[in-house]
Amino acid sequence: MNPRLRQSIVVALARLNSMRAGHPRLFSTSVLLTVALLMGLHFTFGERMFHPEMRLWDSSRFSKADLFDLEFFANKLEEPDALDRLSQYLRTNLSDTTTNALAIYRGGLDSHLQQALAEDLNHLIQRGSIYDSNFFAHVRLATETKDLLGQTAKLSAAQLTRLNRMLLQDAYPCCISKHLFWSERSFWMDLLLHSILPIALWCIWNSISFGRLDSLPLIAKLVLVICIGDIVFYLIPINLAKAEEAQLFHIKMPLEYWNWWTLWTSTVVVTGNVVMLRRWWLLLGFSGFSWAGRLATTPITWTRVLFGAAIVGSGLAGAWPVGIHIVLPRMAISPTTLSVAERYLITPRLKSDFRYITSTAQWSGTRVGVLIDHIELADQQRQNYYKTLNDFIFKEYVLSADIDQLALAELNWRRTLCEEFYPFLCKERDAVAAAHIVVRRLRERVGIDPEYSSRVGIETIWAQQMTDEAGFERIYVAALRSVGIAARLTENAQAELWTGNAWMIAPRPLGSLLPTK
Amino acid sequence: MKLLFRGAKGRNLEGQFIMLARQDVGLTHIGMSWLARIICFALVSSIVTVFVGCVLHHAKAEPKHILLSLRMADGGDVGGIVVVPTLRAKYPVVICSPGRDGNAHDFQSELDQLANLGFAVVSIEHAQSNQALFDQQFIALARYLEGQPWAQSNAAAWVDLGGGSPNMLGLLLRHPEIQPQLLVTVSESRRWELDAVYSALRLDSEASAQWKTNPMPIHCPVALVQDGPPSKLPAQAMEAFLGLLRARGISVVRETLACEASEFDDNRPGVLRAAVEYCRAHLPLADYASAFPECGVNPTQREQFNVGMQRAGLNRRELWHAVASTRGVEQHTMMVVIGYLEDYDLAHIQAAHLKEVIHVAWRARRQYSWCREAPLDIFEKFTANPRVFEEPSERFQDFFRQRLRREIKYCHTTEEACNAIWRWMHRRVEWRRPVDLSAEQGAGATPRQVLDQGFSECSGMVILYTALCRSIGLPTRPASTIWQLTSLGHHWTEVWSVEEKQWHANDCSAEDRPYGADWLLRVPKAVIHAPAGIRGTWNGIAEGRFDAFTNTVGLFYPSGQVTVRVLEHGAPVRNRFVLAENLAPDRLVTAARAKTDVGGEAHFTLGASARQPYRFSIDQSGDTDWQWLEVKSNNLVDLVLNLGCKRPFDKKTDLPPALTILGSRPAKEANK
Repeated sequence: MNPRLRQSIVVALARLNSMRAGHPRLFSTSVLLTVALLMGLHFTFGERMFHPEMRLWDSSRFSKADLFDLEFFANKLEEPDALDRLSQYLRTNLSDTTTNALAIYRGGLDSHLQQALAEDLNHLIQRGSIYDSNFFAHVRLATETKDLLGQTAKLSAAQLTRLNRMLLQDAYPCCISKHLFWSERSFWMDLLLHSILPIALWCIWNSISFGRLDSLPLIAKLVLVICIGDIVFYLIPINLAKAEEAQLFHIKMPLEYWNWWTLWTSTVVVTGNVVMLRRWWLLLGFSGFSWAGRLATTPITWTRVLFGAAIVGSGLAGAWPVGIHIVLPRMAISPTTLSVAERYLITPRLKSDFRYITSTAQWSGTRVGVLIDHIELADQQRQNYYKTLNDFIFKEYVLSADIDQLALAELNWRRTLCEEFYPFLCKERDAVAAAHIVVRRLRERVGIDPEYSSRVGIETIWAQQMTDEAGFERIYVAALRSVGIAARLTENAQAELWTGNAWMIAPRPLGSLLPTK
Repeated sequence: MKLLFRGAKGRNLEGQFIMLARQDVGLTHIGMSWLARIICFALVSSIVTVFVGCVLHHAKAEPKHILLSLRMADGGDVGGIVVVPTLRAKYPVVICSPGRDGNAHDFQSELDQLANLGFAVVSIEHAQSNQALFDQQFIALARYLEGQPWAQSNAAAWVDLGGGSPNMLGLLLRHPEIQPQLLVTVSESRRWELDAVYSALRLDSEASAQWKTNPMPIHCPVALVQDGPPSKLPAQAMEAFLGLLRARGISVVRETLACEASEFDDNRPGVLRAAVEYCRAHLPLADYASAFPECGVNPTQREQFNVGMQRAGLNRRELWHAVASTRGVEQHTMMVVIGYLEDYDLAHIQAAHLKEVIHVAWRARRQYSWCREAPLDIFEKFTANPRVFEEPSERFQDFFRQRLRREIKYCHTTEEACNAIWRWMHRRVEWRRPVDLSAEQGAGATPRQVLDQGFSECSGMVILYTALCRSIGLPTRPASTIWQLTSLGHHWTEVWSVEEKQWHANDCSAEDRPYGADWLLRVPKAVIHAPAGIRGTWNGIAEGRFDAFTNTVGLFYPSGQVTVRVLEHGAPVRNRFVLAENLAPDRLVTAARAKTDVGGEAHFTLGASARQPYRFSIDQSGDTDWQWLEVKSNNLVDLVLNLGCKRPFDKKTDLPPALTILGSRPAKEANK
């Protein structure tokens, strides 16, 4: 080893040792604070700089990553419904390249099509306002979009582009990324918890301890290490994801686990700040009780500090995911809880389902856990009865929780019905045969009585165990969906199911002896 | 300190104090240790208690199973199983015969489901071929049921799943004193069964000659259930059989269960379920009120309460607990409230929520004159009511009461209280156009959400204002109108004024209309719909069920009455709906709907026509008879519509005639 380098290391170690010996608590606190601060900054900004769905500084232009559910979007554009004027309009404004790419598209990821669609949409939203009341008659516009729409005459070109993008986001909420909406809320929370608070603590602490501790060289070195680590930390998964996308090899599982590791950064921040609380307590002189004396007499060694940090850290690391997985599902749905749930509870593979389902029903007032149940149970049963199920049919007729279109939505039915019927269908692989079993069991649980004519949702029907004929058809559709059979109501309000090739009227239930109205 | 430890005899106890102080350290340690032990014990015991409680709760929620073993007069036994719901009440009884090849325990899980419908269900293993033994078994069972506190022994139905009906009919013939309220027999679609019934009733023998002159002593109606067409049973044979029974004075009906033949034969649990649903429609309801003998409800309220409990289904237990945990007048109100709760609330509401509603309402009744002097039925329907429209359920009562009590501290009249709440609300919430709001921000928001978001449309503000008023005891109900000249409407509230002794319309969403403002005559109104306090009004307007509302237009607005007679070939037609519609610029808007009575008449009270007459038509698909009619204030008009007459209507060519006089007040621009 170079003698000069060796000498500088020896000097640095000696200096560190003297600092530790002179002001052990100040020193270790400062180190902890610095780590917490850097981690917090990294957590708030670093991730957003690298993660494609959480970019902070973004224009209204579409990138191909914004079209996250390509299959669904392509279906909409390729065969627009008669009532879907907007999709028809978009379809007529696609370039030849995109139209050709759409024609040969057979599902799954298609980078070329995504790019072409993004370019066409960018061209469209920059051309002028795309708003037409006929196009958006059936679209539920967000309040922000409505506000902006009210000022169309005064908008600049950039704002008009933004408005167009927001209109498209509202029209295709499950296909087009709403990163402006989703990231902003968690960004401000992250900024407060992980950056502003640690910055304030760091400044105060170092100004108090200034003169007694010269930790700046150490801090500079830590910054360097963490920045390098940060880059490595994100570059690796991003490149792995690209390799996965290019179908070089299949690494979905390690990628998902890698995402779980990102939780630990937050854990370190929380741990640092919790340890800090005790230090503040001691520094500000509230330590008149026996703990202080005990601490004074107990020598602080590196082993003990590491041991303590390991205990606290592992405790918090355990508590954090447990809290997320137990407390969050019991909280009511709001933009904030949805944002957190999407980030921590939904695996990347299910994010598209998550965005679809949140866009199709009135979820306010429902618990987050109900939403998660719908997504996870539907996903588990995705291939129970169909070898290949079109993503569009899966989302619209298996995953979708909204059957009744009632003012007071009742959406907490999937787990109840699935637990009731699925045990009888474990070995069944044919949708029609399974539907026969479902309808027989359902009829034994739910009676048909025309007196129950009030239009209520699935939960109420299940609780009352009686309903009228229309209500029975609704709960029949729900029961079929709960076990993974694609089902919908016909125009005559009869349940019909997807056999894998075509729609057919679902097996009829045993009738009622009571006169129909 | 030293002084404290000086003994009475002046001995210096300092040394002992030091010793004690040293021991004190030890004691502290012991104390901490004990504290830790106590905490641990409390934690463990609470966990065990919660666990045991959950197990017991689950066990209690399941219906009670009783294994039946009855001793007959001759010393023999009859076995079976009885399934009784756990709630203390008097239940109608269904006695099931499991069929010729069946067993009493065959449908055990299905019996649980039937018990959840509000029945005590008995499945009995009776003799199949020995009629005398069968008779003894059923007599023993009837005596057993008479002695049970949970059974309505005079409300029993016998359900035969095949093969038992000859024995049952034979028993009824020999023992007329034992009569169920209903006998449902599920045909196995085989000829031999008819022969067995013939034989049991001795219809084919000379011995039955006596029944040709006297009716048979079988008083209960008999329902014969068959599978849907094509049935395996010969139709002619069946008709002949039914005719024979009817000729002998037996009230017999033939019911058809729509299903496939294989389903009818194989799905016996499903058929049993359908048969019990049939019994449910023909037997009295379970009497849940019998568990609360001091509740003081009248027979109508008692029946409504039982209906409410019946419709609550799996949530019945929660409602029962709510009633059982209240006393006196609050219990009475609780039972009345359950009697008219909407289906959604019956299936979802928690006992704690319901108790809070009733408790806050009664607290207000004891405290405030505007609530105390309101009639009890008005109070129970419109103060102790947890719902306004179709908004999500929310516990707002105590929350709002605490925030409003200072505001109304010095209020003495309904007007003062209403104005205080109105000012309080408008300081926090502003009105916005409906087009600027999403569904969740308007009528889909709960009262507290409206308050938190700080803005809403008229329906949202009505939800909030009604909740605020009810939380301080003001009987309040939402009201809505349909304007004559547009397809739009408006919502406001009606408050029961104890000074005026009637409902007072209060446009709470307007910032310039306090309680006493004169605003009702500004825009011509067709009808004013206010809920009558019965089940089904929460989404009545959205579903066009106008008959679920009280029309109060006659109270507040110049109006006249119209009687529409619906005739078919000159004869009155009953149970037909007649529509009263306005011609708005873009479409026809239904203002009211009424059903014809026995005389074929439908009655309307409508606001005086302001610019154009109303269009009256029969509610049916396709072309129908219709007429324009001008409604004048304080006038009675008759109109006839013919069911057979089909008149096409084109709103461009079939323009309404000009009015003979203008409405009582010139129409002004709608302000919202």
